[in-house]
Amino acid sequence: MDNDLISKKELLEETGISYGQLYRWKRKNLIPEEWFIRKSTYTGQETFFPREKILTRVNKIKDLKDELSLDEIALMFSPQLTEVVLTKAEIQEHQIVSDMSLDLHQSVNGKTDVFSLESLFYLFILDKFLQSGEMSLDEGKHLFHFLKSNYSRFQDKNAELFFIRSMGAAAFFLASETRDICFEEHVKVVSRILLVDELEKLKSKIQKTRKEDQYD
Amino acid sequence: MTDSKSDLLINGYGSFSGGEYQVVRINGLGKVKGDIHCVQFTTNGDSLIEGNVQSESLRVTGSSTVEGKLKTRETKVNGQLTTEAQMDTKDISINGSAVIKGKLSADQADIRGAITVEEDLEAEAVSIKGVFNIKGLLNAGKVHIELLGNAKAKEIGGEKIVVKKSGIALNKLLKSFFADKSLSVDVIEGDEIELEYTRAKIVRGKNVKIGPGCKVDLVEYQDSYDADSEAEVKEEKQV
Repeated sequence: MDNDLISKKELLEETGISYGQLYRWKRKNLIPEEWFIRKSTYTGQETFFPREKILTRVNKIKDLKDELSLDEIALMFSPQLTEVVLTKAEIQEHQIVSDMSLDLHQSVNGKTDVFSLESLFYLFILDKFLQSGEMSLDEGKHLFHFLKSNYSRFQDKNAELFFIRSMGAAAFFLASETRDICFEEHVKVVSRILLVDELEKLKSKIQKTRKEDQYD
Repeated sequence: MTDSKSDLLINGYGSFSGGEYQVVRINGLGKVKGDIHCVQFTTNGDSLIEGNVQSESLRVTGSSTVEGKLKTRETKVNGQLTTEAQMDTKDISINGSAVIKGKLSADQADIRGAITVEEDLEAEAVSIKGVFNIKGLLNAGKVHIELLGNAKAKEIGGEKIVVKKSGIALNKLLKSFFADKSLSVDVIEGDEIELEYTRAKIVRGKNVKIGPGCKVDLVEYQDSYDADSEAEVKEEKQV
């Protein structure tokens, strides 16, 4: 049996959730359709899931479901850029992205005190690269423009962002549902990231700051 | 919606273009070309919409065909409804028949008559009295089915799933006639499952009751299991 996959039965045993809960979460879009993998086995059709992803997701839902409604949780996992707006002060206070990225945003878009989730998401991604020292500020600006003009077409397609260098020159591209990919020897893949994962991280970070603010 | 939007009324026979309206009412035979965005959409007679429809309420007495997507809060059909793409609604009640050639999502679905769904049917509560063919997954918190003839679904999943033969067929004369009418489904998975006249390959649940007229290859249950003497179950196991 494929180790990367987990059968529905195993999943229920391991997490203690019921069929009813699993179907409910599917209806509420808490578990993406693509994770339901149908395979023929000796007992007929069975459903499998990507093991790591589904276990992480189910445990996260179990943690959150007492505090948040299922619709709120769904929003957090959604690849859609929802209408959240944060102020610059909030971003700085909770260190959602670095000041360096905020400066970059200002130099590209002019001075602003409010950030949409969309802008913040692009900053969040390039901030990761800037902080790791893998990317220069100019390349960061380039990436910001690139995501801004292209992400919307990819948001529902399980998109991956590739950051590559060929003979030192940086390039980015977006790919949906990547299966296999191959580069010539001069190309170095600096990083490839699944955008929906990053968005989820950002959203839970924002959720956390909102929660803290409530109790302040 | 502001009051400045006008109404679209077709009395008799007419063809109009879509747009934004308050009320769209077709009495007779009407065709609308293009997308419609309105508060109330009523058909008495026959209507064809060559576009998407978004309306707070949709009422059909007679027949209506939507060639695009249909999005409403409340849908009431006495007669026939066909949509060529997905349908999204809160409350849907159908007396008659419906053909949904995409996915159907609703909160409450109450169907008396016949329904065909080309993809999944998702709702918090589904009640069907009649016949149906769901080519994808029927996924609902509560599924209540009263069979009036042959029905089919690829899979059924949810919290509580009840399948019964309709009271009307209880008549002894009809009993033998009904014997070969049943629900055919590949897999049923749920917490509480009660079945009658159901042919399934696999039934998995917490508490499973298999009633008369059922033919099931495999039952997997967690807490309790009960089978009627008139049920055929090839294999059952507690997991």
